[in-house]
Amino acid sequence: MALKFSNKTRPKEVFVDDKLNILWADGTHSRYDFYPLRCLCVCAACVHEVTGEKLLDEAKIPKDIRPLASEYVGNYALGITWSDQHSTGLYTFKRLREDIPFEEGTRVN
Amino acid sequence: MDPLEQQLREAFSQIPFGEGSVMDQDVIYSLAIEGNRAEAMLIVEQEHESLIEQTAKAVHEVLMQVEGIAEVGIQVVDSLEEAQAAEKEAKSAEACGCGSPAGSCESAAPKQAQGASQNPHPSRTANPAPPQAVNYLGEYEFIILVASGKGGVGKSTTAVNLALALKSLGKSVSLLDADIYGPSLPTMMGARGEFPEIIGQAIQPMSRHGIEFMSMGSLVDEEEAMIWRGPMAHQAVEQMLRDTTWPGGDYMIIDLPPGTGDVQITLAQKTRATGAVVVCTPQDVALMDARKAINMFDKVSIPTLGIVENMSFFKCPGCGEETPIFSTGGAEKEAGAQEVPFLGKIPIELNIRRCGDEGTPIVAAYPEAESSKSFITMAKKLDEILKGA
Repeated sequence: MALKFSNKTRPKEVFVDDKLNILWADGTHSRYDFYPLRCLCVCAACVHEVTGEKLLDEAKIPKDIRPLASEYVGNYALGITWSDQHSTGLYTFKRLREDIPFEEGTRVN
Repeated sequence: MDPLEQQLREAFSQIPFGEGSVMDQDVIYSLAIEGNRAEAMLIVEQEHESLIEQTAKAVHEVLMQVEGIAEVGIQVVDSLEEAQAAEKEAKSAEACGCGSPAGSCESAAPKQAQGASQNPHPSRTANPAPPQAVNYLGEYEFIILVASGKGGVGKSTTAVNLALALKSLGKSVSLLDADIYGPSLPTMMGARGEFPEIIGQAIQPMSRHGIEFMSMGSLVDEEEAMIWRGPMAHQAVEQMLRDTTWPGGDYMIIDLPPGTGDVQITLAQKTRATGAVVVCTPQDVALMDARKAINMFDKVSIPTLGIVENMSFFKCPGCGEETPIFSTGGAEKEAGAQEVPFLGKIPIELNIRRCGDEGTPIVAAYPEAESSKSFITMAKKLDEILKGA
């Protein structure tokens, strides 16, 4: 029996240029703009854990925000340290692929 | 102390300095490894100034030999005070957000040993490096989490016997008891009341039946109750992952605590687990919790490799009649519904319990027993699934 594990949400490579780039195992290349991605952070400091209310004031996020570093979290997420020193957000690969808007890149896997 | 630190300490004590070595003369003030980059700060007092270049070079060489290190930065200062000041500056440089590694910002000005740094520091405009992966247990080909939603379904029994069954197939196997609240591995492996050897901070895994293992039960007194909040549980697990001198090999089998809590999250975040094996009994309550476990693994992208039905039936040793004490077949049906492989049924046998309590698990004690055969079939299935994946 095949494993229930989708290539769609599995990253093959992640790199940063003027956008955050993810090459997925199914061959898609996603490119994410920094500012909206930072604004979509769902960590407990940015979104209230119980009410789901957004606590992050987007106006306070610098327009030229960019990632300083990133790390894989287990199999399932990407942790990003942003240039505003915010580093508690995890972006699950599932969410990056399915919910967060991106533009398609042209790099071939 | 982790094995790397041990290795580095040994290497540094081979580098001569003044009347001793770099190690015993306290030349190394700090050493930080982040991703593929190592940063060391050395204190060389003025009287030894002539040694700066060769010492920095030797330290550089040692660090470059470490697997996974591609860049080495070395700072040399001439007193402890200066080292502390430089460290403080470096911290504030980090906080200034220029993105360059600690100490390379213009505001921090300790002297840089010539030729010590191979790569120039990335400039302000350079793209950040690709993501780093913090993953413990990288020395194992497959990391298997043995889990259950509900407690008392035979998770540890399954973990131990599955490990031994894989071993009997010729695999190299290690075992980690991540059930920090109720560790049962020491008893089942026959190492109750024994403590592991600890060298520096490095915990040497215990070894029984050809399997290296570690358990919180081997680190604290048996009667001690682990009343820990989340962060403590996280630290305890991380310590066993990080500080144990794991030998590496084909399989790392991890026995999880029941439920979907802190320990599960730690393992999901700090390792790249190959997959989970979910143990349950055929009862509805156990199945419901098993469903939750599968759901949790799904959320953290750990595939469920299969479901095991434990306590599937009792075969009367007298007449041979099979009695489904907790009902039977429920887990198999559930596996079908969840589209997850079904790995096998383990019968209730007096010897499984007895062997576990006596410290020689049934696969080792009675490999011909019906349950042992089930465990071995399970191990073969698992191995095939992983080969095909």
